[in-house]
Amino acid sequence: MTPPTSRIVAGVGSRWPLLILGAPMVLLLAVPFLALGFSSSPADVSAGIADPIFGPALWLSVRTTLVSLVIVVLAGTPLAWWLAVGVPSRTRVVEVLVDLPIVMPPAVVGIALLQTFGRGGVFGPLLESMGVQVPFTATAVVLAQVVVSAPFYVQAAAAAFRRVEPDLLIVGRTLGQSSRGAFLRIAVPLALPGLVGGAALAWARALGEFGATLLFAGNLTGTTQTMPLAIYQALESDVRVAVALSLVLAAVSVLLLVALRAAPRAWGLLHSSTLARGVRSAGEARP
Amino acid sequence: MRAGLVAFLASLLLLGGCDPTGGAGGPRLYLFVPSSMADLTDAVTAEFLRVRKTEPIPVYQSSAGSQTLRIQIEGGAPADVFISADPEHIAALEEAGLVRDVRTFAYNGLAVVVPADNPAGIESFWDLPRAERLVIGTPEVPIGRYTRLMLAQAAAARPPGPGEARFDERVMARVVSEETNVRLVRSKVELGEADAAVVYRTDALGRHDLLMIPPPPEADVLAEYRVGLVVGRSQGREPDLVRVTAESWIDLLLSDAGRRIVSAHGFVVPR
Repeated sequence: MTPPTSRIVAGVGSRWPLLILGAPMVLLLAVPFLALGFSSSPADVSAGIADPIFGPALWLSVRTTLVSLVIVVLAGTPLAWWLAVGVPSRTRVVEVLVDLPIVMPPAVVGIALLQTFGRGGVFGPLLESMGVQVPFTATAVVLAQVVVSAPFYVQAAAAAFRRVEPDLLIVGRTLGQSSRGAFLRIAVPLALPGLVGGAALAWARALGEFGATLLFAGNLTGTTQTMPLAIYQALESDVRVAVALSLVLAAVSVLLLVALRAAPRAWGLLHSSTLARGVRSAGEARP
Repeated sequence: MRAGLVAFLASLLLLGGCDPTGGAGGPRLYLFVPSSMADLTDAVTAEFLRVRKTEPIPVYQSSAGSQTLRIQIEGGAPADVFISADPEHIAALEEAGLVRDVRTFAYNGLAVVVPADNPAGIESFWDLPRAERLVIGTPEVPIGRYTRLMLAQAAAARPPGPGEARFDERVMARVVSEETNVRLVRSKVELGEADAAVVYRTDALGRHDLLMIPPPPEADVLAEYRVGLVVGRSQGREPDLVRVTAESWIDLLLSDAGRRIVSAHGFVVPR
């Protein structure tokens, strides 16, 4: 992909002007994070980590984002497959609905969730009669994360499934795979880099979720106060805690990003053998 | 490429127009007021503009928790008048040399508010532990600090029976969210999501969707509002003009006319 593009640009002229014009943007995007890294001494960071709001916020963020990631992947993968192979006239509407949370301000998502699951909301009386409380619980945190992060996974997964060669699936089916087998043994392994990338992106988005959580789940240490909410509150008492929390979140995000970049290549090496195995096992299954 | 450059320059121009401290504009006044006082200071500003002899001046009001305003001023936000809902936050700025001429001009009490349909059946202050969902302020925002003080005083006034937890502990166990300003605390009850919340008495006045339950005298807390002149934040505006304008706004607030507005909004004025 890359070399031909570069050759075209090289043919047009020097690339230096592009870099010079782009450099301010790169600096603007990168310098704040370097500044974050250099702004605090190790003593500040350890003081921040020792603060009573740090531990619960970190643990809550880890728990809730893992739960929301599982929900997003389990429900999002079949949806993405349907979006990829479905009749465009039908999928188009659903695609727009799925994209909705991306363009909605998180505060709007928070109010909308409150109007849905809150006491005065659409399902409020029903949930109340079942004795279920959603707002101000960890469930609300997870719901907010699922809503804001699912679109990123579903989009990436649908794009990855669309790139799967339909012929390969047909070959798999002629070799005796059921449609489920063709999906699990051929489509999923081929799309795996895209699925993993989408999942990492969704996880990162869930980890950073702030606005909808604040409005829908409230802010209570240990129950609904995730890392971004703790940063917000810590700014008003002890800036060191806010910086320490920010550094940890930033470090996790960088790790996610690195994984995001490295994973497709690693899977790329693996998937050829997986696919061969999938087709072979299909052949063996044939009577 | 050229089109991109033009678009880039155009966006810079647009940004220039948004600069709140912007050069070309004339004098303007920035008020930093606690959420609980936003309506009152709006009324004072209306009176300020009405009685002003010289040309009208744009007045910008920023309302949030006093602790947030303090951090914004410490961070260099353009502010000319700062009002704090507790003495602590304005004292910190005074010590840092960022605020001077600090004076107390109003007091407020606390109140428990419940939705008009009162789902938890809270009839008196001592029913507060009945709330399944209670919302209060964070420990940093004045209302949150006052709330904790009120609960501690209530617990001291009514020692627990044998085997019973202290009153403040039983109440704090019901807290489902801590908000960063009093209006956010109140909104949770207005939305019907919380069974009860602790706000200032003035936040409960004239609200038909809320029932107000004042605390007993032995638990009540007197919130003290202080106003001060912010120094060194004129940021490109004429410093003397800014100071004179800000001083005249504060003078109005402290005048008899100002005191009438303060008490009309339910606050208590000092004698």
